[in-house]
Amino acid sequence: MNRRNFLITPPAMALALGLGSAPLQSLAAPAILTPASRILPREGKKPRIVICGGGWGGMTAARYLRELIPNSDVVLLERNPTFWSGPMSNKWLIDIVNTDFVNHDMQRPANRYGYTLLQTEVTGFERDRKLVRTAHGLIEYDFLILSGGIRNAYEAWFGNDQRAIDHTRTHFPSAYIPNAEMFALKRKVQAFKGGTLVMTLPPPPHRCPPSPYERACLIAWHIKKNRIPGKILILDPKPKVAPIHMGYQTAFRELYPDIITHVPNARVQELDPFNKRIKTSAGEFRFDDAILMPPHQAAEMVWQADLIGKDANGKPTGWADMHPRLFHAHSDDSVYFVGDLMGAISDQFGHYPKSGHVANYVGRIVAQNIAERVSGKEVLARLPDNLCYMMVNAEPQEEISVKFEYEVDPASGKVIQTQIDMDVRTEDLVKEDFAWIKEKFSDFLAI
Amino acid sequence: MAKPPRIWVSNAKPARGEIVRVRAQIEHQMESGLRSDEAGRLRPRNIVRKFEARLGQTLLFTWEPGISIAQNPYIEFTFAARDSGELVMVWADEKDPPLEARKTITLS
Amino acid sequence: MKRRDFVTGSAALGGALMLPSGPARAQSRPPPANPLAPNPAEFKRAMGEFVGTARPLESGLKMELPVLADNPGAVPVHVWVTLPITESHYCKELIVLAELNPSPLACRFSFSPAAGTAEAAVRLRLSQSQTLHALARMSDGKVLVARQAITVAASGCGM
Ligand SMILES: Cc1cc2nc3c(=O)[nH]c(=O)nc-3n(C[C@H](O)[C@H](O)[C@H](O)COP(=O)(O)OP(=O)(O)OC[C@H]3O[C@@H](n4cnc5c(N)ncnc54)[C@H](O)[C@@H]3O)c2cc1C
Repeated sequence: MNRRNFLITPPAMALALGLGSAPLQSLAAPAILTPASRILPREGKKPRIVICGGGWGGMTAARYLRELIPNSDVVLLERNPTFWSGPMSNKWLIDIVNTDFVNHDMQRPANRYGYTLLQTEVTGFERDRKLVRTAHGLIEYDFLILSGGIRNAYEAWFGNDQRAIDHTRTHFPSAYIPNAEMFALKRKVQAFKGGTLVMTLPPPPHRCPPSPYERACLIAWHIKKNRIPGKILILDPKPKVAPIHMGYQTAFRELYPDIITHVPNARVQELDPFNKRIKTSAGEFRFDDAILMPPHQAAEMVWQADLIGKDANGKPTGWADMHPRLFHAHSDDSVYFVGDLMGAISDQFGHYPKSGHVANYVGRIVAQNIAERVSGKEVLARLPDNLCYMMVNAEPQEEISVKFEYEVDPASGKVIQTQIDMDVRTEDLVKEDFAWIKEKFSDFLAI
Repeated sequence: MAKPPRIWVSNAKPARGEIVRVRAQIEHQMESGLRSDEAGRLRPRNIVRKFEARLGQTLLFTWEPGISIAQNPYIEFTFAARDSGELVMVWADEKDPPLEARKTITLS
Repeated sequence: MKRRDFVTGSAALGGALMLPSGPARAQSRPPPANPLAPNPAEFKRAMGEFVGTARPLESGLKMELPVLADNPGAVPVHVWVTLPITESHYCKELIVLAELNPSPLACRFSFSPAAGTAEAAVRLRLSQSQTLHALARMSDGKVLVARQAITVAASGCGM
């Protein structure tokens, strides 16, 4: 596959329309669209649902909206030309799965399920006029779903020092967002010759909490197998490894005792990416190479839509301001949130885990809720669950897992969470993991 | 008790006399009988009362948990590999049919 | 299996000994006797029954656990007999006691000589900071003991 596929589409690039593209004009000069043009004209009175972000959540919502509201006009806006999966991407780093396993065509599901896929950049909203602004023009909606995932909040480290941000992004990419960084990280891992590899973890909530430790284990396995004189230093702001605390502790201790060091309570205080120095609340470290995960926040689109939550002091929470049971914006019930950008759900546990599993689950719930509204039925509040498998050993392949179950406390009406860590690493869990991803991919990628 | 037990053994092909380490965990609520439900009634106790490990026909040991054992009970144990055979582990709670897991141990 | 446990308002997860909390429930009934209260009589009884007339020896049995339990709902405890184990000299029985738990006898192991070892690791839920005791009875009648204090980080009903 072509690496350039992951570059963000420049606005000047031709429209890549799925359904509903205009018939070819004659040989006259082409009508060049500008961002101010209205594109994708409405088809009659069909309810129009525009989904911003075609990842785990957005693609699932698109499929189920088409299925549940046959008479709907569903538009999916995605900046990338192809789908890239976070789940399984750690395994791809060390070639346990190949590129075709994590990278997929998006046009096929669009055609199969019957929604319009447009490769473009969402740049803003005019909610009062129910318009989405994109690099290619303005698009009308009746319902809007924001499913753009996360952004890297580098400014928490560097303020507005753009040079430091760019240097960090280009030299120490974290590859937690589907883009060109995935390839940069894989090259980095494969080219690693030794020394100290620092991995910073963001403070919670962040995308897929158990996955940085999985990444550490798999890179450590690569180091061990190839006898590279390297060490991994995990700088973790949390007081301990979590979730699957004991499963990971055992793996670190038994499988990678000379490679992985986990440093708890290590909040990043100062970072000098040029001289490769990092100061944390647990001490100062030098690194030879690094995977620097900055704090995560809701994707830019939630900020552009002015739908970020505020805390008691009026400061932005960094995540969507939404109804915890119905997933729409508190201030605008035509706007729904799906996936990692969602805000807090309950004061017992905070956020739903920012996982592909939850994004897929909530994508479906939101489609059901919109379908209920369109057909005038009662809107039901539904709960997701979560399940994550994490590989800790590559030879033999062994995994651990964590499950979250949700229910509503009838007394308080609040959602409460039960967490089940499976700490015993087994080969069965690897089989279940591959069965899980197959089921999920077939749910929204039509494979 | 529907979910399969998770089992890890340090070496399924041990030398005679080698100490084999086993880890086993199941998903189980371990309902203590001390908690009440929404209506304030005590929830009936249901915990794993007995765990048994055999190698072939030979009993290695039994474990009888009380209510102070954590949810999703975890047990790690060792045994000296004297024979080849099926390592059979059985969990019995106070409600459901017992759960069983097996691993083949072959002396090398 | 359905999990209908209400751990509202508590930072600790997954503790099955957790009492229901929240004002609504507190008002619906008079406060019951605290089911998490220690049971010293039961602790004495279980200890006495196991030890009998033997004088417990402070060596030959090891117990390992964290000094500080950050998750009182799953505290790892590892016990093992360090004496040589043979067909004719082995550990018959081993118990773990949580002195201040409502039900102090946490669990009992019965080993057969075929095991060739006497070792186990389990996880306990602890209602408060306390001392854990492990007691082993050998086939020759000797009783071995190991103890360790543990501080439970989370407050109150961290179980
Ligand atoms: C290494 C790693 C391992 C993981 N492992 C697991 C796992 O094992 N199990 C699990 O369940 N989850 C896992 N995850 C988490 C999972 O990837 C995410 O939780 C999931 O992708 C969230 O779905 P989403 O739809 O919210 O975001 P995404 O899948 O990231 O989709 C968002 C999409 O929006 C697009 N977008 C954003 N902004 C714009 C814009 N302005 N214009 C146009 N398009 C835009 C992006 O390009 C992207 O395609 C892992 C993640 C990583 C990084």
